[in-house]
Amino acid sequence: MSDTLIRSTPPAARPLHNIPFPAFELRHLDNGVPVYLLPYGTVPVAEVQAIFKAGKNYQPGIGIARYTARNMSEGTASYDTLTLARRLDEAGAWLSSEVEEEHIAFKLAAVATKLPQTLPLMQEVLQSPVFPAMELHQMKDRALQRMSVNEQKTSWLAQRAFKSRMFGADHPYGVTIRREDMASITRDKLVDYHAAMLHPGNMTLTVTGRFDVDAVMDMLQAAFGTQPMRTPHQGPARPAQMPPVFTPGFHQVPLEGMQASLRLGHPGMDRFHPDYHRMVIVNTLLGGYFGSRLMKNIREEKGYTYGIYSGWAANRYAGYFVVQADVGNAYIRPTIAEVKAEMYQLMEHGASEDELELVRNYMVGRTMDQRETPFQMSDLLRYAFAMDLPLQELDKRFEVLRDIRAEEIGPLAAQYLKPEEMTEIVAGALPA
Amino acid sequence: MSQIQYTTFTLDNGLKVIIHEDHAIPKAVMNILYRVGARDEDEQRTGFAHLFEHLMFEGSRHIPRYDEPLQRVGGQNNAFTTNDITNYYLTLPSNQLETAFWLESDRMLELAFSQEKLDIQKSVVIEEYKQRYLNQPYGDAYIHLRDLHFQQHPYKWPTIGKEIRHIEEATLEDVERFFYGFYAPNNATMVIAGDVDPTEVRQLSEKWFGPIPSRSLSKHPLPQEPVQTAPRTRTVYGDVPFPAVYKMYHIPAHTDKAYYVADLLTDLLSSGKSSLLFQHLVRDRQVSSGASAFSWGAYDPGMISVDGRVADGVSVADYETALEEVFEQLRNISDDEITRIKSKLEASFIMQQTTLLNKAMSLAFSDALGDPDLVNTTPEIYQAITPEEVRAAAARYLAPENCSTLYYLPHPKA
Repeated sequence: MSDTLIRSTPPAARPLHNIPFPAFELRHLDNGVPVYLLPYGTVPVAEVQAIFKAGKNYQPGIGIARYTARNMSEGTASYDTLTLARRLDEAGAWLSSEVEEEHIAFKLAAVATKLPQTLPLMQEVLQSPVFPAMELHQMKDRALQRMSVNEQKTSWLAQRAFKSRMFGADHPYGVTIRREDMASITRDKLVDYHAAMLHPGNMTLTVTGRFDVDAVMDMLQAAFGTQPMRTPHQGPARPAQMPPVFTPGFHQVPLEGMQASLRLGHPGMDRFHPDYHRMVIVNTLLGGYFGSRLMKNIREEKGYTYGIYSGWAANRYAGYFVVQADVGNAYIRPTIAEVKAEMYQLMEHGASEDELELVRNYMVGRTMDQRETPFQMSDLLRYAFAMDLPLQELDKRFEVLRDIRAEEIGPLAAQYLKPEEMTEIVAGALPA
Repeated sequence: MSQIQYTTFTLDNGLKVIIHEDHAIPKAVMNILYRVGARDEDEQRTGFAHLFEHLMFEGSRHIPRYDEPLQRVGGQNNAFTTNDITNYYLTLPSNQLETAFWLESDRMLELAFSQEKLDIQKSVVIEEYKQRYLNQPYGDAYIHLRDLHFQQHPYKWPTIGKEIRHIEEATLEDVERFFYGFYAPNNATMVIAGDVDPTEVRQLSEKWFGPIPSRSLSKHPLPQEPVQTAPRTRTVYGDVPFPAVYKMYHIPAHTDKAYYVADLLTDLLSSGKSSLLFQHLVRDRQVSSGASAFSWGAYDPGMISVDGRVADGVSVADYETALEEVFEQLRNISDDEITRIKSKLEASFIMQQTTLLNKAMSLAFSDALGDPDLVNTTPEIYQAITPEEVRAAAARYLAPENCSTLYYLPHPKA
């Protein structure tokens, strides 16, 4: 058998299959709150998620959305913070919150048989938080100390400068919380924000995992279905009303050290732009995965960095292109030059069918890793609701991957990449 | 709790193969664990096992690039090096499984060594060293602490290497010697998990890995760590805003049942908002703005680490006094708290079964510890721990004479 073994040619490639977004069921609680039910996976675990149309785009002051969500589990009408944490521990359950620009979500993850004893805890956190003043005070105090540590990290400094120059320091997509913002986060504001935003009118529920649909609906009805429905939050989000202010050009954030963090980029497009998926593919080829052109050139051929990536990020109302890497001080200028050279190369010469086919297969294959667990499916649903995307849109990437042709890559790059109009952040020490 | 089903066989050349079927999605995982890590390095040439891991992606005898053919069929991969082992893993669509066999067997057979590739990866690893350890506030704390905690055992240096110079000095000759001394079928465990057919896996294993010769391994006996009898301390200064205190305590090896009791101590100390460190140091006493603990289960006796950032305006002495109070609580911990932490631990084992890669890695690690069935019996080991054992372990391990302390302080003001 080994006599005939040919090691220099790969085994025959087989056709790749997508994992399409699975069938789900939409039901409603008696008060009208929508519940998306998605049985998924073979392990007896489940995640219940409450997603609110809220978040940084809809907050009256910097930090209010985050501190409201974080403090909701710091004590409720029936439980103090420690008792609540212990009740979750003894059930083997995790309750966490996510605060992003477009939404706030609370997630309860547990072995499915523990939902009856833990959903009432989630209900308490959502409906009856008491916002103890001491917990808020301590949380802010710790955040200020973390900030002092972050200010010694080049990657954090670079990220802060990049967001600010991409959108403007006060824009919801551009802001990083500052020391002076912390003082204006008061208990009253959290109480008001909770009352104004985290109510059934802004809420969507999702359940993913291995669970009994009818039984879970009964539990959700008992926990969340009797609260009176209210009018959903009206009016556009702040980014829709506030045009971003982009500042191109070189900008250094000085910090003594052995390496600098680079962030190079420019404005891109929002999530609804018709070329969004195409540009994600173009970006993947340029710098979006380990086999990308940037990684091959700057890590694998030059050894300037441990890793370099580019991203084509799209929020609900605006997006951006970014290249990021940590490089030794001697490699800062050569890296910036090589990044631009790779951008021009792609804009002028495009890509071959062979290279596109590699990226296409790689991207289709990643759905195996991204759609494996019920927790990942829960996150996908959350993303869709936060972005106002119809759920069919979650599979749109496959259609675009199937249909995109190699001839399109160069013109797309030429249309949307702007190497001459980037903001170029170097956080760290510049070489003499 | 549902069991992870698996079958095993061993090829004539010594390669052990473990198969776990899970047909939930059309995905397969291949995980190959080599029993080689930083422990096998020469003290004058540290960081080598990890540097070598990088070179494993730079082409093999018949395949010029490792990543590309895998990505081309929808796969992806990575690897990591510890002090004990080096672990390589990939995921891919299950109908492409043979590509994994083709790629992994060729780099077990023979690497394509070249000076140019070595030089580039040396540079990449040096940048990794800076990015992860030297250019971060407190980033090199564990490098100093390991060196203090282990005085004889090769665990005293980190996988990234003791110093950058060691990486710079690595030669092509070192690379070849390392490969033939440790990268051998008789020094590896391969786990295939997912949407696979065991009969086909067996055939593919014979076909691709069967012809690789077993090799004579360059394992050498390691100096064992003497029992520590008195506290040790070291102080370093850096560009950091607050003092931080790092403590390490000797505990038994992972192969010893006593390890699991020590590990449970760190869960009680540091797992979530109800944990002792958060409740006492951060919330009640406010001597720390963040503290954590973990255990390191190693082939030879490892350690418990307890670290905390000292709160703004608080003295290091006050922090340490409060930490002693936490240990006092741990020596008297209630049965209820132990029951709660066990429930949490059991649930986390179930949660971890939701990904194939976790299951495959757990099987490989379990086998490396001597018994693949640990993947199923580990939760029972934790459940069987008694409150008396926990309280006794707190007294035994978290003792001053068993402790090495690193004080990481801001530069004194000029």
